[in-house]
Amino acid sequence: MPRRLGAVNWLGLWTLYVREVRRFAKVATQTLLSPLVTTLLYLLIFSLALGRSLPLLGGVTYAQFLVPGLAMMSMVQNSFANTSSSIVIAKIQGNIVDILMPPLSAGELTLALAAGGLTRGLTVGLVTIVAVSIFVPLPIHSWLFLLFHAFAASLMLSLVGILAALWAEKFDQMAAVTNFVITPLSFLSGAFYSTERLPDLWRSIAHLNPFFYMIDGFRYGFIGHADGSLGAGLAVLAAADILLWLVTWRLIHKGYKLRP
Amino acid sequence: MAPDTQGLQAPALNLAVRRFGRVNRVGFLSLYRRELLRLVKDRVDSLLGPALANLMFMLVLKVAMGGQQVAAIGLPLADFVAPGLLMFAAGERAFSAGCVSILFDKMEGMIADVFMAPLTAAERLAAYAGACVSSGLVAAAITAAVLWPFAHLGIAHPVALVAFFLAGTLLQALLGLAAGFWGRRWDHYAAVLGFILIPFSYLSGMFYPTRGLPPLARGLIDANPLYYVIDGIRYGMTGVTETAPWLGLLLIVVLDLLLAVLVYRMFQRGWRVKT
Repeated sequence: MPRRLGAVNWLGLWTLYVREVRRFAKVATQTLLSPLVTTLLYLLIFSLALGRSLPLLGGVTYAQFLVPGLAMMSMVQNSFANTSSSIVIAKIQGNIVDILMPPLSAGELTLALAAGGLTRGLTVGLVTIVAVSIFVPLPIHSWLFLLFHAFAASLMLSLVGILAALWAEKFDQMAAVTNFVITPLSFLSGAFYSTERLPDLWRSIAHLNPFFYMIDGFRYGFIGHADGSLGAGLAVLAAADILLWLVTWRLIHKGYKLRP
Repeated sequence: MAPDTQGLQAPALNLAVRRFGRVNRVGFLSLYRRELLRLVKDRVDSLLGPALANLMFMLVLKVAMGGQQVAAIGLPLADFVAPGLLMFAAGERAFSAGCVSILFDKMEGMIADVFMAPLTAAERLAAYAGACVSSGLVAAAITAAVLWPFAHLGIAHPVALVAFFLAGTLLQALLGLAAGFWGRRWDHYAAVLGFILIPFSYLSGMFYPTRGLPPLARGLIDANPLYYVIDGIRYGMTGVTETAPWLGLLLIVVLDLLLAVLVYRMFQRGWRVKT
C-alpha cells in the first residue's frame, strides 16, 4: 500500500532542510568563521586606508557606514554558496537522485533548498553583526527594514544559487558565475561608498544593481540614512524574490538539466 | 591476430639503468611543464577571477575617495596600493598553486607519479617551486594589465623590483608547498589560506601607511615578513619606501632559504606522503 502524504510532505521537507543546514554547520570554520574574518579584515583595511580622510556621512563614522554593507555582502555570498555548491556537487557526484527520487514536489524542493541557503545567510549576518559591534558601536534605526532586507536578500541569492547550479555542469562554470557575476555586483553595490558621491550617470547605473537596494535598505535599518528610494528597494526585492521563486520552481518542475 | 594481443608481442625490454648526468633535466622540465599546464587549464578560475577581484579593490578605493586626494607617504592612494595588489596576486597564486597541487595529488593517490620518478628531492623542489613562482608572476602580470588604467605603474628601480617579486613570490610558493604536505583535506587548504595567508597579506601595510598607526598595530605589521616584500616592491615601482629595502630583502632571502630547507626535507622524506 503506498504511503499517504498530505498536501505537503512535511517530513520530507524538514529532512531536506536539516540536511542543507548540517552541510554547512559541519564545516563551520569555513562557512561561518572564515566569512567573519574576511569582513573584519575589510573593515580594518578600509577604515585604516580611508576612515581618517573621509568626512562623516549623515552623522555616522565611515566604519558605521561600512559595517552593514560588509555584513550584507557576506550574507548574500554565503546564501549563494550554500545552495549552489549543494546542487552542483550533487549533480557532479551523481547523488542528485537522492533528492529527485523521494516523494518531494518541485515546490517542496525549492522551499527546502532555499531555506537552507537563507539559514546560512542569516546566521552569517547575525554572527558578523554581533562580533563587529564589539569594535564598532551600531545604532538600530528600524528593525523592520533591517529584518526585511536581511531576509529578502538572503532568499534572493539562495534562489539565484539554485538557478546557477541548475545551469552549471562543471565546477569551473560555477566558479565563473561567482567570480564574474556575484563578486563584481556585490563589490560595486555601494557597500564601500555612498553612491551620492558618484557622477550622475554612474549613480543611475549603480541604482540598476539589485545588490544596491539590498545594502541600502539594510544600512537604513541601522543608521537611518539611505542613498536611494526605500520604497523602490522594498518593491525591487519583493518582486525579484517572487519572480525568481517562480522561475526556480518551474525549472525544477520541468527537471531542467536534472533529469534526462 | 586479435587486436588486444598485440601488446604481448612487444619487443624485449631493454632494462638497462637509464643514464643521465648529474641533473635529470628531462624529468625536471617535464614536472615543471606539468605544473604550469595546471595553471593554463584553470586559467579562468585562477588567473582572471583574482585579477578581477583586485580590480574591484582598486575601483572601490577610487570611488570611495570621491574627488578627494587621499595621499599616503606622498603618493596618491591608488599608486600606493597598486604594488600591494600586484604582490597579493602573485603570492596568492603561488601559494595556491603549490598547496592545491600537492594536496590534490595526495588525495587522489597520484602523488606516487612524482615520488616514483627518478628525480632527486632537490629536482622536485626546484620544479614545483619554479612552476609556482612562474604562475605567480603570470598572475601579477595579468593584474598589472587590469590595473593599468587606474594607477600609475612605473619602474623606479628595476633590480629591486625583480628581486622583491622573485623573493616574495618564492616565499609564498614554499609556504604553499609546506601547507600541501601538511594538509590532508580541502579544509586544511582553506584554513591556511583564509586564516594565515590572507590576513598576513591584507594586514601588511598594503592599503595604508604604517606611520600614524597605534604602536601595537605598527609592531604587528613590523613583524609581518610580507610588509617588507610589499614595501620593497613599492620601492621598486615608485622609489618611495617606509623601510630600508635592502635589509628587508636580506630578511626575505633568509626566510626563503630556511623554508626551502624545510620543504626540501619534506620532499626527501615524503612527509605525510609515504606511509
